[in-house]
Amino acid sequence: MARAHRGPSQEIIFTPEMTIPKLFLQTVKKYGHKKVAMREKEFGIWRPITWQDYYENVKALALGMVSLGLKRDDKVALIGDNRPEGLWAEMAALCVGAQAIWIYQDCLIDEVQYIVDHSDAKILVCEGQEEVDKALTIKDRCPKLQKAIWDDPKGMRNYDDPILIPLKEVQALGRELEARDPGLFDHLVEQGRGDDVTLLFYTSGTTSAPKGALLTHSNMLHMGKNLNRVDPNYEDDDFVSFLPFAWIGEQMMSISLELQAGFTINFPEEPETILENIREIGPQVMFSSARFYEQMVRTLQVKYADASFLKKRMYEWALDVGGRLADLKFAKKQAPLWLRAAGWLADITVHRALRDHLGLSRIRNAYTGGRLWAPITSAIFTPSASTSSKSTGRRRSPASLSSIVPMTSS
Amino acid sequence: MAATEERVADQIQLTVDNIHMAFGGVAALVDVSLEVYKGEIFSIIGPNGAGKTVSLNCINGLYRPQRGKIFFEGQDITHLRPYQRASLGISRTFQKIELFQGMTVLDNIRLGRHMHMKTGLLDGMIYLGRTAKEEIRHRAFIEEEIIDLLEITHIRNKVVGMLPYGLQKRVELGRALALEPKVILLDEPMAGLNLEEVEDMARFILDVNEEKRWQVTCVLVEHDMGVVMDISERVAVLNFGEKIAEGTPAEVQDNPRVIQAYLGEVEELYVTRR
Repeated sequence: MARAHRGPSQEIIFTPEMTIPKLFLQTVKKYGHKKVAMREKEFGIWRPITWQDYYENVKALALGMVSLGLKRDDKVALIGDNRPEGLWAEMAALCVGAQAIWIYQDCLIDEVQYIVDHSDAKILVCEGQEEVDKALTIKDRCPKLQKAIWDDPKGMRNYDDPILIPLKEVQALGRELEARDPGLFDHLVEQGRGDDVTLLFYTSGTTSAPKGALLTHSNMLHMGKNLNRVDPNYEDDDFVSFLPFAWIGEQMMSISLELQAGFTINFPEEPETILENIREIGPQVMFSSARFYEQMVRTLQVKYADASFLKKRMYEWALDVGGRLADLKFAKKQAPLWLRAAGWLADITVHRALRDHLGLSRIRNAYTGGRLWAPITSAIFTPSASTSSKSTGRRRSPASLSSIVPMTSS
Repeated sequence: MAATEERVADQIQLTVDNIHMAFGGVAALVDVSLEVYKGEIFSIIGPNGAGKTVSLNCINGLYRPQRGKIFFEGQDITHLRPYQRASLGISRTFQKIELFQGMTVLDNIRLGRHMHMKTGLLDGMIYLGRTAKEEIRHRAFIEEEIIDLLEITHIRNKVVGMLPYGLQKRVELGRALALEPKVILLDEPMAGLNLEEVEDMARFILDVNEEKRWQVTCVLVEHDMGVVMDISERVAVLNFGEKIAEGTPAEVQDNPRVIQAYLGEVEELYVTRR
């Protein structure tokens, strides 16, 4: 098996043989039980999953899928909210050498049917009852679909369709297969090559039917590498995964960058609790749609409108100070001492509290991509960031940085 | 529903035997008898003032009927106080929300579990050890079995008075469930809810009724005929304090006395929601 080395700059050097599963195994070896790979808030508690747990679950699931008849180059479609099981299932499919297709969780039945059928998916990984209902509705129109795996038992008591199988049973099948053929998993992972197609992303289909875009292991890995080169991410960073896995940006962070930087992924409890959960985690790295940041600003503006006279004046003053500091910073000029002092005061009185309320108290890099955001968004975030010692206060669009991926390996 | 047949259907859990309840000269219940089987959803319907809530209040112990007896699992509970009935496993929700408006969702639900608390005030002052363990155990139950089931994770720490009506209704169901009841009396759980909230509530009732973990017998007082006819196994109809019919939803709908007394015309049966 080709090995990736850590070069002098701590960057992973890729050979053409390098794939996501191979890098996964290396990262697991490196951290084992010593480091938390992901956390999920469940029943009100953040529950940690170490890299070793991540590996055990993926292995059992991958071999379970093999028992269900999955082979190299088969397709696995996945639908559901961001959760550890979703990521395990994706990684499991990749380890087998199959290609994974994430479907947006709010897709209508016809759209799900189109993507499942068009991609030749053999297995559909569902979350709970809602997704299972979709799977059962489309199964007759998707003859290539053989199994639907689900993991959330809520409301599933009366379902007995033979196409359905719980994730735990798949993992049990996998463990049986592992006992019979211990080297199989490593063997499957070794067969992969960097230029194998690994993920399919369906376009939104605004002009005609959605088209599947093919991404190889190299594509995915270089995305993370290039992003890491511009802004290094560290293994003790926290990242909150809440945007759909079907979006390339989330894949870049949760698969590619996660394996390379080794940071911890945090999964919110429910879609409704995202903002609250972000505040609890206080991530260093954030990658989100412009709309998400705009929503934060809107919340802020509403609160500002409701605030008392004194608080309003304080906020305006702090925003002004931060804005001046930001201008000087962008112009690469040294700020005068009085302004720096005012910046410090603005930070401890206003900006620090604001960042804390938005869950940005530890933020170092906040990315957005896809489209431009309303100017007001930077007008509010950059001043706050400029008074902080941690964040850069710059705004970047990784869409232009790393999504267009060079096929060269350094 | 498939699960229905698997149930122990012929076991009577709750018997209301000829109860008579009058307020001054107004007879609210006149010799009403009901039998509720274990594991079923039993609905009581009737026009306004028919005595539906009064009958729930009698079962629950808030009112004491002048005549008649009430049996729960073979035991005569007619003379028990409401809290004694609660400790036997009879829980309820109210038509008008009766939550503690100034407390959080979690605290309200926790309150429903005080029946199961073994440690007392003195233990609470020391807290560490026994009391802490007990509290954690109860919290785990609330989180895993109630908050997750009712999908109220996002509001667990919100003050109840700030929540929309539909969510408050859900919290009230949560508090009733915290008792881990054998029978739950639901007084108009759908009243004031929009269509989506009604569907959610109906699903929760079915979950509580069917899920292996719960399997709670439900006695439902409800005006939303769509829901009543969809989810109940049997329906009793009250009119001016008298029981005029009882049977499966289909039987009740075809009963001419019911049509005449309560529903006016057959067509109006589904008018409320459909």
